[in-house]
Amino acid sequence: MNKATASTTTNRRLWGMIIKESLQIMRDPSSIAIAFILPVVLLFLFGYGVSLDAKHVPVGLVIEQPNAATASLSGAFEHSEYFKTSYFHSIQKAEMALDARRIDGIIWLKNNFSKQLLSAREPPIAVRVNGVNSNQAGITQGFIQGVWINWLEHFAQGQGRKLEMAVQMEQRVWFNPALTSTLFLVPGLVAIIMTLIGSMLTSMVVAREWDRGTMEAILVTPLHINEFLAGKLIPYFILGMFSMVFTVTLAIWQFEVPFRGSFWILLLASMLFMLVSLAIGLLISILSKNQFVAGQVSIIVSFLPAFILSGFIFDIQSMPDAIQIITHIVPARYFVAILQTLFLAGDVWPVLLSNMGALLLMLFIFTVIVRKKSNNHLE
Amino acid sequence: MRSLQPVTVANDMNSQSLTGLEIKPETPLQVSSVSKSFQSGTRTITALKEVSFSLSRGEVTGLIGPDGAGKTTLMRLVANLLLPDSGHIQVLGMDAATHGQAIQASIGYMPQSFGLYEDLTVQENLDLYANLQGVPLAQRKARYDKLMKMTGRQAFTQRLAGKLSGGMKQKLGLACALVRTPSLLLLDEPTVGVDPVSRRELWDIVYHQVQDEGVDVLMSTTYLDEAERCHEVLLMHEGKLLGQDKPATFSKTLSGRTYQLQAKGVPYRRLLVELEQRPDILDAALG
Amino acid sequence: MLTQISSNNTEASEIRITPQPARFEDVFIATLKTRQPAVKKTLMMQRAVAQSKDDVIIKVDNLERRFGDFVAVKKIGFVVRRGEIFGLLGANGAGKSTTFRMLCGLLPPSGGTLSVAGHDLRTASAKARRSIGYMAQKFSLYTNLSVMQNLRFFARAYGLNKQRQKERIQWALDTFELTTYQNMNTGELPLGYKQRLSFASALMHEPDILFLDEPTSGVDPLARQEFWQRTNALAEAGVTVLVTTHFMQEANFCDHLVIMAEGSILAAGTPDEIRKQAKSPEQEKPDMEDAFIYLIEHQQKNNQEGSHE
Repeated sequence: MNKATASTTTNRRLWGMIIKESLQIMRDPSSIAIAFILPVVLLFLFGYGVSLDAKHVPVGLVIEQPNAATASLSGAFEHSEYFKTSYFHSIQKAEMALDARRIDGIIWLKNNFSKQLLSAREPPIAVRVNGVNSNQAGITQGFIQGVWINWLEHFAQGQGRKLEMAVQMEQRVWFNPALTSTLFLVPGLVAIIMTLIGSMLTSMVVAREWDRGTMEAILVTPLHINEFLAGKLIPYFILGMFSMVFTVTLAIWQFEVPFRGSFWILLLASMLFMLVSLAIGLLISILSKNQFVAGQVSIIVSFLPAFILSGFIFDIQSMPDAIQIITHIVPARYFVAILQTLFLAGDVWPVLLSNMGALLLMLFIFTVIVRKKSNNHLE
Repeated sequence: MRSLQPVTVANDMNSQSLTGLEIKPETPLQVSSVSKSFQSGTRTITALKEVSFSLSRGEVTGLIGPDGAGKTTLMRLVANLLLPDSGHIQVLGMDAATHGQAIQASIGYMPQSFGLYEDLTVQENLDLYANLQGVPLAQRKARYDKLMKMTGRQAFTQRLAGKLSGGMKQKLGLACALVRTPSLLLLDEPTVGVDPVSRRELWDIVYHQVQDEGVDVLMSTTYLDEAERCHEVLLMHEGKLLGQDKPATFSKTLSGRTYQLQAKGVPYRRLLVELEQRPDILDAALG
Repeated sequence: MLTQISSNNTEASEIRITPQPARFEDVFIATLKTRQPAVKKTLMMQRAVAQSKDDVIIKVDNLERRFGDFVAVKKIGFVVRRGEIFGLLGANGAGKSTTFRMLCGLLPPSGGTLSVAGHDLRTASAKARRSIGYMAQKFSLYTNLSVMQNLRFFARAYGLNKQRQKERIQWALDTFELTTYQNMNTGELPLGYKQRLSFASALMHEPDILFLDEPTSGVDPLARQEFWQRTNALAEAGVTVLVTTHFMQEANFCDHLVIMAEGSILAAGTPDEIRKQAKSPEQEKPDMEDAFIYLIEHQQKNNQEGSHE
C-alpha cells in the first residue's frame, strides 16, 4: 500500500469515527444538557442567585444616650443600602442577638458620644462584627468604617471644623468597584463548564465503549488507537468550544459582565485549556475502563478541584500555604486567572503569558502520560 | 534473506513468506502452548493453560465449553486484542506478536456483545465499519446490498440498532464483521440467548461464507448441540483443551453406552432419581 | 446393562430400552464426570410442604406490559399447579423475563391480573413473601462478601431465628458442597459454585414456591445436570417451581411449559404435547428447537394468509 492510499484510509477511518461520535453526541441528551443547558443554569445561579456581596447586612445599633448627633448617625446607617438596621436598648441585648446570629454586627454609640466625638482620644463608637465569614466580616467592617468616616466629615464640616485624622483613607476597589460578586464569579464559570465537558463527559463516553463491548469490535479493525482517541476527542473539543462561546456571549449580554481583553486570546486560551481537560478525561477513562468509576473519579479529580481550588469562588491567596501549593497542579487555576484577567482587567501580558505557559506545560505532560498508557490491546 | 520468526513447527506445514508474496498457509490459525492469566484483586485467575491446536482450511471449527473455559480469552488472543503470557500464535501465517495490524486487516471479529452502537442506525453502523475496514466507496453499495439480502435486513436500514430484536442485532453484528470478506472469521458466542430461528439462519450464513467465499470460521459457543454442526470441535474446560476432533469421533468414545429409556406407568421423575443412584449409570436425563 | 428397575410401583409398568447415538452433551459429561468426584445426595427439603386445598398456585390472566409504545408482554395467561415444574421458554427479548418480574412483584403489570398463592406480590405482606424463593439471573450475589456471609445475610433477610439460621446454613454448606469454599469471596468462585450459592440462598427459608430466572446460564453441563437433579428433588417434595430459560432442551425437565416469542405465547402444554405439534413426515422426532421453528413458521404463514384475506 503506497503512502497516498495509506493516508486516505487513515483519514477515512478517522472521519468514520468523527461521524459516529458526532451522531452520538447529537442523540445523547446528557451531552447537550452539559454543553448548553448547564451553563445557563450555572450562570443564573451564580449570576443572580448566589451573592457574596455584603448587602442588607443586618446590624444592631445601641444608642445609650439618644440625641441629635446619634440620630443623625443612625440615620446614615438606616439609609445605607448595605445595612438593615435594628435597635437595641443595651449592649448585652445586642450581643445576645449577635450570638444568636440575628444580626451580623453591632454599632455601639456610647453615652459619651457627643462629647468625645471630635476628640482624637477615646473613640465614642465601638463596632463588633461577626467574624465567622471572614471575607464578609472584613467587607462589613469596611462599610461601617466608610459610613462612619463619611458622616464624621459632614458633621465636622457642619461644625465648621476640620477633621484631624492621622491618615485619610481612600478606599477604592480596583476592577470591581461595586464589589459585585457576579463580575468575579462569571468568568470562572467558563472554566467549570469546560472542565465538565472535557473531563467528566469525555471520560464517561470513552469508558462507555468499554462497558458496551464496542471497544473490542472496533480495536480489531485496522483502526489504530490514536485514530480512535482523536476521533473521540475532536467532536468533544468542538462541542466544548461551542459551549464556551455560548457561555461567554450569554455572560456579556445577559449579565453585563465587561470584557476588556482580546477575544482571540480568549479563544487561544480556551483551546489550550480544553485540550488539557480532554487529556485528563482520556486518562481517567483509560484507567477506569468503567463508566460509573470514570464519572466518580472525574468528579473528585477534576470537577471538585476546579470548583474549590481554582480561584473561581475562593480566593487562592487566602488559603493556607499547603493548599496553595496544591492549587498549582489544578489546571483550572491557570485558566480562571486568565479568564478573570481578560474579562475584568484586559490584556495584561505578564499574567496571560505565564498562565498560558503553565497550561502548555500541563498539556505536554498529560499527553505524554496518555500516550504511554494507551495501546492497541485490551489491557 | 529475512530472518524467520521463532515458530513451533507442528505436524502440518506452515509456510513463512520469504519473498513478500501472500501465500495462504495451510493452517489459518496455529496456537502453540499459549497461557494467559489475569489479576483480579489479589488472586490470579488462569484463563488458559498451555493450549495448543491448529485449524484446517475451509472448515467451521467450534470452540465448545462452558463459561470460564477460556473461550473468549482465546478468541481475543487470536484477534490480537490481548497478548499471551507465554506461547505463540500464528494467524494466517503471521506472528501475532509482531504483525498485529496486518492480522487485524485480514480477520473479521464479532464479540459477544455484537459490537453494535445502539444509538446509531443499521446503516450508520455499517458505514462506520466500512470506514474502519477501508472498504472503497465504490464497492459499498454492492456490498451492503449483498449483506442485507443475506441477513434479510433490507427493510430496517434506518432503524436504531438498539431497537432491533436479539436475532436482528446478531445478524447486523455479523454483517458488520463481514463488511469486508475476511480470510478468518472469529465469532464469540454469536448465538447466545437468540431464538432458534435466528440461530439456524446464522448457521446458514456461516456455512455460506465457508463454502462460497472461502472463509475459515472459528466459532465459540456454550450450546453443546451446536458442536454437531461444526466440521471440527475444540473442547475446552477451565482453561484446558480437552480434545480436538470431528464431532462424530468424539461420540464414538461412547458408542454402545447410551440408551433411551421409555417407561409407562412409572412416574418419570422418580425413575430418574433411581437411575442416578445406580453405580453403573453415569448419567441420566429427561428427553 | 440395566436389568432391574424400580419395584416400588404397583401398577403394571413397561420399560423399553433402546440404544441411541450419543449426543455431544453426553460426551462432555462423560469426560467431566471421570474427572470429578461423585455428587453427594442429601435431603433437599427438610420439612413437608404445607398442603392446601388449592391446586392452582399461580394464575396469570390477560397479563400485559407496555414500555412506552413497545408492548413487551401481550395479554398472556397460564396457570401453574402445586408441585410442578413450570417452564417459561423463549429467546432473549421474548418477554419471559418481563413476565417473570411481574410475577415476582418486581414490576407492575400494565394490564391483566396475576396471583401467586392467592396474593399479588407487589402489595403482598412480608409474610406472603416468606413462602417464595427467588434466584436471580446471573446469580446476583454480593461479590465482596464471602460465601458464609452471603448465606448469613439471606438467612437473616428471610427472618430466620438464630437457631434456624445455623441449621439452614449448615444444610446449605452440606447439600451444595460449599464447605471448602465457605470463606472465599463470592466474586472469586467458579461459575458453577456461584450458581450453587445462589440456589442455596434462595432456599434458606424453605419456600413453597421457587422462582428461578435463567438458573443454568453459562454453567457446564455437569453443573446443569446437578442443578436439575436438585430441582427435581424439590418438586418431588411438593415445591412449585417456575423456571425461565433460553435453552430449549431444558423444556424436557418441565411438567408444563409455555414458549414465548415476541411477547405472546407460541405454544403451551407438556413437552410431549408441544413436540407432537411439530411432528411431520420429514421430522419424525422433533426436539424442542424443531418445534419452536415449526411453530414460528406456522405462525408467520398464518399471519401472511390472514393479511391476504
